[in-house]
Amino acid sequence: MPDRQGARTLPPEALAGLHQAFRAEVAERLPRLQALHAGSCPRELAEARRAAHSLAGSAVVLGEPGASRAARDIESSLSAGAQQDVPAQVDVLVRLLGAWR
Amino acid sequence: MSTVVIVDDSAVQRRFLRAAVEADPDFSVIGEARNGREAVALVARLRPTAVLMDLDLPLMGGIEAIERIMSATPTPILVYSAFVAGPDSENALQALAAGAVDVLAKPGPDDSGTLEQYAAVLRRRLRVAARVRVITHPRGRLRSQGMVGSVSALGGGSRRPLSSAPPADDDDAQGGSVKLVVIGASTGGPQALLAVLGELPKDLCQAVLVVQHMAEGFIPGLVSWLDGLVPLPVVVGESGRRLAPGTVTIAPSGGNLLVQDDRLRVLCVPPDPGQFHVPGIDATFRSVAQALGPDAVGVLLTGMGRDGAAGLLSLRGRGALTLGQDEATSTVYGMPAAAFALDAVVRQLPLGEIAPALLAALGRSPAVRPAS
Repeated sequence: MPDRQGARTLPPEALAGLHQAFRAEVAERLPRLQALHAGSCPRELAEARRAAHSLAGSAVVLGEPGASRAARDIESSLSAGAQQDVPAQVDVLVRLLGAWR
Repeated sequence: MSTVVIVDDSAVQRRFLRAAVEADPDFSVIGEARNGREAVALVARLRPTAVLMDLDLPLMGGIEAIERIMSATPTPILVYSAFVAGPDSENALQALAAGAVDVLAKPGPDDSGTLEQYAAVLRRRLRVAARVRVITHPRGRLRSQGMVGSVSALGGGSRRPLSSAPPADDDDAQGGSVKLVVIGASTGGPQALLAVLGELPKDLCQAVLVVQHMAEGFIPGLVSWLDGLVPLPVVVGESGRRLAPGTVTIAPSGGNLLVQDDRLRVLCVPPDPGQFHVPGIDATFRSVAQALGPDAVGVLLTGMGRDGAAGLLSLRGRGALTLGQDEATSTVYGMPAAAFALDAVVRQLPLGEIAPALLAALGRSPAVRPAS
């Protein structure tokens, strides 16, 4: 497991729970971002924005600022209606979250 | 023992918050909700001492949840929210207007502090929030004062004179030399600021400077929120510029705003080493005392801690009129209490009487509100 500096400051038992919860969150939310396509409906777009928002916040807690930034970029694109930028941004996020999948 | 309900749709955040909160043995997390609807129901059932809530929630958003909690089972709510430029900072201000006690920014990828430091700040703010006695829904309270429900009336008021009679615009009158009104506020400040600034007429001749303790990034939201609701234009202060008369300038976050001379030129300086609240009220008040003396009026509103008390004393010492918010109407009677204890307050007043007292000091008769 990569060194997760931010998370190291929490008690070990809380840390283990956080790792588990983050894996579950990545497993649940990343597919929503990967499933986006040109014809995604507004509900799917809204859920994807929320998924990106959650991942951005959680990645910070797990000491993954790079992944957090990538997720925040996706959230910004979806908020701004710039869906065309999202697939490339999702690729970046998937790569940065490799250790958690 | 204080009991806490955590509201966040992310299991990661809920776990982190629980660990952060329960590191203080005086706190116990008694429930977790994943959306606004669950939050309203859980708070009604468990009646916690305080609620820690994210704003971006599914099913029912955080703002609506706050309004419902505050009208059904009033409970101190500490909002922590990710700051993403623009709409989210407005949401934070809406949360305060809906009745949340305080807003804290979630740590972002560019924050240098450790999670432990963040957790410590969270616990400190939660301890303060948990002590706040929330009685009524602030919107309801503001409404009873004719402030909201009348947001449209206020907005309309900014486009037409508030007073049917021409204002007593006599520069030679008492207070005619006053150039600046400087206001400090912290916890509960945004609602209090709205109540005071909402009563200042659009053709005010004096500049108004506001220092509101606020997390980095939330000031633009505060500015646009107030700007939409009060008659005077509201702007963020900029180093090197002069404070404009008839304009409310809000001190930017990240440092202290100092007034340099009687032409009201301002300078932004970094916070003092170890300074806890930013922007600092004491630093601004002292600079105003130095630059303007009796040609300023100082106002210290609701807030935790004691920032502003010593600065208000400097203002009083230089002959300025000083007003402090009273205990009954303060969300947290901390700063105004500290100022009162130092004998820095010339007049201690309920929130609703601060704007009329200001206008009287400026030689203006209070605006006559059309009956609604």
